[in-house]
Amino acid sequence: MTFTQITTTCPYCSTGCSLNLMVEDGKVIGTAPYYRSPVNEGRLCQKGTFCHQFISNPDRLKKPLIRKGDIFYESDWDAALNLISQKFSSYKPEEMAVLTSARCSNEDNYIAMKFARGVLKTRHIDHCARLCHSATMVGLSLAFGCNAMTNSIPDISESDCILCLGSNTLEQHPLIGRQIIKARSKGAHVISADPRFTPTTVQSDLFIQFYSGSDVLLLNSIMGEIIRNGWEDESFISERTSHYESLKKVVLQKRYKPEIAGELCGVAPDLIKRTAEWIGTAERCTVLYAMGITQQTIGVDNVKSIANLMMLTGNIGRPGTGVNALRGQNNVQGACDTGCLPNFYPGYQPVTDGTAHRRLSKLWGFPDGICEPREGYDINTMFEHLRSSSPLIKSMYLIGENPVVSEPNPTIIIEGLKKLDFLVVQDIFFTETCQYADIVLPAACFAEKDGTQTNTERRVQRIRKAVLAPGEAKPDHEIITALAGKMGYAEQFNYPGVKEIFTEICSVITQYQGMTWENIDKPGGIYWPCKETEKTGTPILYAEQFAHPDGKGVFYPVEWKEPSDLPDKRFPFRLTTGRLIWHWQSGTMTRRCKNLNDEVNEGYLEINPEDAKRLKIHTEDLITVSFRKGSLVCKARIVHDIKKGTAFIPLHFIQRVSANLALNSSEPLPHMSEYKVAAISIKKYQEARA
Amino acid sequence: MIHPGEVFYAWSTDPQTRKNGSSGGFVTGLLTYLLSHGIVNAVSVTKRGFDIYDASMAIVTDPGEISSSSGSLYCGTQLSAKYLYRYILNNPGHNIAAVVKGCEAKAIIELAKRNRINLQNILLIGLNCSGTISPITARTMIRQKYGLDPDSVEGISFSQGKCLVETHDSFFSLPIEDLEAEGFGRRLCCQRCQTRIPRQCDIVCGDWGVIGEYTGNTTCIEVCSKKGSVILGEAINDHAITIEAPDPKGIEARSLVEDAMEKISLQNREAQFSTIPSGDHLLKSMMLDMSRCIKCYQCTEGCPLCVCEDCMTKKPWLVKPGQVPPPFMFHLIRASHIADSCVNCGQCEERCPMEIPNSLYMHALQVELEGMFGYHAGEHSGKPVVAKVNEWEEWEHNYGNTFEKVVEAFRNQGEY
Repeated sequence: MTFTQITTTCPYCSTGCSLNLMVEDGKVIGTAPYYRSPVNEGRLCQKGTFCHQFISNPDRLKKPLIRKGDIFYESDWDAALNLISQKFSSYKPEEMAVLTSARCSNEDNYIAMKFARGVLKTRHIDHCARLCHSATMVGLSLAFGCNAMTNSIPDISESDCILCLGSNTLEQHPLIGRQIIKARSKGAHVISADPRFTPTTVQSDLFIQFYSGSDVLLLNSIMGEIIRNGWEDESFISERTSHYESLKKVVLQKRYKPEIAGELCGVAPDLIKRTAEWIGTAERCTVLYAMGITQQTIGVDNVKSIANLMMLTGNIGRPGTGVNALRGQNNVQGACDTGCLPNFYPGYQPVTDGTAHRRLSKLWGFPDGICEPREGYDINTMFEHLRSSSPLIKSMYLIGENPVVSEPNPTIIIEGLKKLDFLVVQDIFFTETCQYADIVLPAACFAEKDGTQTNTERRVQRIRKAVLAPGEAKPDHEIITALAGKMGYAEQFNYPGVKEIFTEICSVITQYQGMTWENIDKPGGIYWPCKETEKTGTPILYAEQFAHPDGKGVFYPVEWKEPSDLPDKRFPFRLTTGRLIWHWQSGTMTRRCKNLNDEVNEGYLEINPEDAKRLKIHTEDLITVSFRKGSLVCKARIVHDIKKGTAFIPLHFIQRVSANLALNSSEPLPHMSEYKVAAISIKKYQEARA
Repeated sequence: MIHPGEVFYAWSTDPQTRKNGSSGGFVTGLLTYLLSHGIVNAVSVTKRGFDIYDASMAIVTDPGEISSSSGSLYCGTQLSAKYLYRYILNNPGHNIAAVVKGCEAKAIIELAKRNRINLQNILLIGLNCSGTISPITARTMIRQKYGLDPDSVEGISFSQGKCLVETHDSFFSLPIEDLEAEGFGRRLCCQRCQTRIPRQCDIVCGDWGVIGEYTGNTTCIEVCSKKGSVILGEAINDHAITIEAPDPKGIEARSLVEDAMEKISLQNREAQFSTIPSGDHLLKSMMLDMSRCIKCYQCTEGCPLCVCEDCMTKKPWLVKPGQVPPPFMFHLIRASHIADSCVNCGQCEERCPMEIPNSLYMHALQVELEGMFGYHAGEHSGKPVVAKVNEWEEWEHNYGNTFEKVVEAFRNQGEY
């Protein structure tokens, strides 16, 4: 009998909490706190507490599966990889696409990226960050020159004023929520702007219950108030930013006056004024935002507005300030850093940059070159192309992705997957997407592999192997390395272990250049950017200057555009979606954790009691939710927490698939999908009469 | 012949262990002896992890591994009781020696009273404890108050009202009282702890009372049970341990330290409890703090006494599932099930992601219940109050079909 504890990083959200896995006789029997972590100091939310429960679930994939007709047969690695190698070799680079996962480690992502660009030589590589923070990437790059969260998690507690906008932090990133609690106990003002009265709102001093989709309107109104009252930080603006005049011109327009804007976003003008005063007069103010901001078609505008607000008030580059984009998954940051994007090589080198292309080709040393230096398709474009009568893409390799549930429009995804000539899906469970695969490969989960992941605050931390993977499952990077070997590139994928992969990553990504396998192997890891000499990297960005060549931040004023799908007579409600603390993304893992699933195990629709009364609907009633392109049936939940005229569906359940459909009725697909605003109607469900 | 209640100076007979282990290597020597002679199957110790701030719990079965766990770790804020319970549950019949702080000893005894652990299988080796400090608090404190790089520090300890920080070439010290007034220093539960020398154990060890030439190479031990005296006797007979009569001045110093610490703890306790309102304001205050709850179950996971398989907080008719924050009933259930036996280990507060002062409330309730019913949590005598007054079902759940019999027994004893 052996009993050990292995310290690792939580597999769920991007907070990057550390925890100990308790291992008894080769099996993970529970979790224990790891008090030494500077991120969470031993504390965990429920997902972290029970994260061991899915590891040894009997549903785990244990052997490679090969489809024959409509049936999957268990196979072995040799046969599966030979088949894949043979098939992949038969396509032109242009005909293949790879999707990697923000759930996998940096090493997995880097190897997948190298495989796509070096072995398959395709430029079509992307991952699910497209669905959460691609707006952040664009918006913050324009404003600051770099797209990451500006500050560290611990310094949020030093803020005097925290604006949570499009982030239900206490539920979605509970251990970042803790920093809000800490700041508030020291006297900070907390402002929560949300259509729902969330657990975060319970802990705030001011609640702005606005309509989803009016974020820019609200922010412009706040900025106008700040300028009118002279609360802007003049010296910061003049020394560190450019294009201020254009912002001033936009936000001072009459339409953004609190009295007028308030009407449109459903908020009392006084609340906007108070918010402007608190933000404008705070010594240190920070904004926490997440999917509520970015999962909209106008996500980039929202992000730009937030950057504008923080530059206007000089809240950049100091503890307790900044634009804190809270990422979704555990390794969104790392998957982007390692270049699993159609437009960037590792370290955000544009793929069209000839020097970067040459450097990478030389470093990797593929005798027959790598992909051409052109931008590839992003995930939405890939599936958009698959809709054409003779699609260009014929084969896809999905690593840890479940697009059938997670992507906006499931019909388009399913249609696209069916059209593929050859599909390989690599995952830890047989997901909804696996049904459409030709070959399914069993992968190891977080507890079964070594590696690193990069959390939302750019902290590179270790994950550590605690137990063996079930059956023949292997870590993603090992599978890809073996496949590359089969395809004749063993020399380019000669890694004795993950350490060597990480070392190569550090040599490729400038932000990681000061890191080594040894120096990140400590509690809390290291923040990027990390130059040669630094011990802990850079927790706070832009202390001296922004990342643009001239060192200045740029104001990008935006005008508010009304959401495309507004309520009308036929569809009088606004539907929005969000997460619950109990589950994570498509629920593949959390639905298999007993303690979590016991709490909430099915989707529902939340509406306000007044609306419910009018519609004669009671809690637990079955209801039909209709939208412009279809309908869904679910249970109703009457809650006081939601704004009148608004409805909410959690996105972890099958109802999400239809809800996504409601939200993404626009054609062609936008590059950032809409998850937050749609018009719906609600009525009591009536069984169809025969 | 050694008798319970006797105090000795002791150390390991192995010169290497005496030199490398803490205070003469008594604990390391005894554990090695117990394991290598097959007297126990495993020992439970605290191990140093990445650095001095990183303490983790380990169950060791190889005598060769014990020396790697020697030394004091003042950042050892974790609690071993629940791990031990799980170990014993999965390894019935195994004997284990556990090195424990006061709170851990008390938790184990409470578990034994709940029929979860059989004390016959455990040898409790207690450590004098002046309190523990959370790792990240310690690092911040060293940076801000001592002006040192936390990574350059080689040791932290509490002694004579001072917090000593040691680097490779010098010592720095600041008064604990001042540090704690600014929110640094020991955990709040440690500041109010009254169990400095846990005599619930079979043997208690520490360096309080070690004076003169013995300083640094000797442990002052107190034998507290018959089992402790037998085991110690065997270890001496087999030449694993050497004991000597203690210096009477040392013994006096030891009780002075204990008294002083308990006196300060009592003051701290009064100060901390005075922040809690009384009467129905207490309920209001609890409800306000607990509105931050996200129902992560860390308090129940961390609590050494929350071990029911069939937890009342998971009954949908008592606590509606899926709600955040959960209905207040969640916390009421915890309080009513635990408060009488709370051992003030602080885990529920230490692990709470929302900074709810769980432990403060629970401990305050326990102290109040102790005054009402005279039941002392974590001591060998008596049965938990709730277990006595709670309904039949609850009793059966914990003790099987013995309700009437035990009530009868209590009646006859007239214990309360």
